[in-house]
Amino acid sequence: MNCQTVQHKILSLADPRHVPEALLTHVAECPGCRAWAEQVARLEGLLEQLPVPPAPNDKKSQLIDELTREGATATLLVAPPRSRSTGSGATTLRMFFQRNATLIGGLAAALLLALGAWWSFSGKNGQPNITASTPNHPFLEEMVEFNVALAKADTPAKKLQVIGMGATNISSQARSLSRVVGPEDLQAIARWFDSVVKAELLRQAEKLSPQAMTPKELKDEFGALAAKLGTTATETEKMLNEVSPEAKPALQRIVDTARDGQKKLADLARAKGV
Amino acid sequence: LIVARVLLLLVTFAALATWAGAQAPPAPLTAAEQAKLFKLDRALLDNLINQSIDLADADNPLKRAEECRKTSLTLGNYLERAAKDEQDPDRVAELADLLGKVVREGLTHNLELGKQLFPPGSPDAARLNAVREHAATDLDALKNTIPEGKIADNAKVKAALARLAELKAALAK
Repeated sequence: MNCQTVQHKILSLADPRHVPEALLTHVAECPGCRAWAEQVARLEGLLEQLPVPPAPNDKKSQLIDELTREGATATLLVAPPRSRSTGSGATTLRMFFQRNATLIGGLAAALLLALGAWWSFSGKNGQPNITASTPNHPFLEEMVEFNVALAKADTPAKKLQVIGMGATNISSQARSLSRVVGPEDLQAIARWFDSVVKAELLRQAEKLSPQAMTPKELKDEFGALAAKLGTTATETEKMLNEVSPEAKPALQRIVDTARDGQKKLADLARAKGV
Repeated sequence: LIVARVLLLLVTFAALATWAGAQAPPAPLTAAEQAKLFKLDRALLDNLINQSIDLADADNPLKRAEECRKTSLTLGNYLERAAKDEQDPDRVAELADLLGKVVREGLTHNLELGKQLFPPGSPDAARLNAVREHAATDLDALKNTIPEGKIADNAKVKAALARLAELKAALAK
């Protein structure tokens, strides 16, 4: 128990002049708390000595008379007796609405919420609505986009750009899933990255004839792809210290593939004379 | 008057909330959702990566159209599985839309390019035409793979299948 706790407990005692045993041990040994307890006890004693004017004997009956006399504030708060014979139906209804505005407003809000919930969660045939279940898979969409972009790429240069993006997306997926999926799943992603870099990127880079682009375009294209692979390797390498030991081999494979691809692209660029 | 004000305020608030909800982008996936979807789609993703290697190697519109048809067939198989085994209308609609994308943007694009490239009556033109007819038949057959009931009656699935039917009609022209 620290000093602050002890002092709060003393302050909350009904009579702080009588400190219980549980607190006494600390108070006896702590000069600060002892001084505090003494001060609070003195204050309690002084409060007792403050003069309080005595109430007159008939004060209570005077107060009751004041509260119950005709026209007093207290009587206004009492609802007047309801009479069926006085006022029209509309007036009665209006008075009812006025008196119960909060309750009616609350009921209306609850009704609206219930309608909203029913509308959101039920289809035309009472089936669960689509928005309530399986979300779309962004990575699946990316890979379909990757295939569609490859189908539209009609030159090796365009294919290279598309494949570079595809490789980046796959490595990014590996990093984002590295803490949530098992090592087998991560190995699958590393294998895909390997295929895309080796079987697609480097193969297309080899196919690229020097006539397809100017030497500067070729140099820029290879440079951009090598830079992308370099960034992939660096970013994935950074994650190696943040993942479980089981996840490391897959990420290391991505790092190695990216570094190897970077080196081979540089070699290819040299071989093509750029 | 008070009640009318409260009701007006609530209706306005509900309308605004509905509008704002419709504008908001879909919430990002949680880690658990990412992991679940990855496991669910791992085999399909594996197929798509392998097909991307073949697509990268395809060096003319005919080969690319043939590869696109293979990709659409793969997506169709998974769509059928989602409809029959998983009974998941969202996934059926998602896969139908992805399949539509492959046919509309990949296959049709290469069919048009091939039409311009291969002379009418040439073997390549005939093969290209066969790809077009097969793709149209595939799309037609797809709606028969959706079982009656929960999946077929789902509004999102109906809309996705209607888009595929339009695509099939365009292919058949």
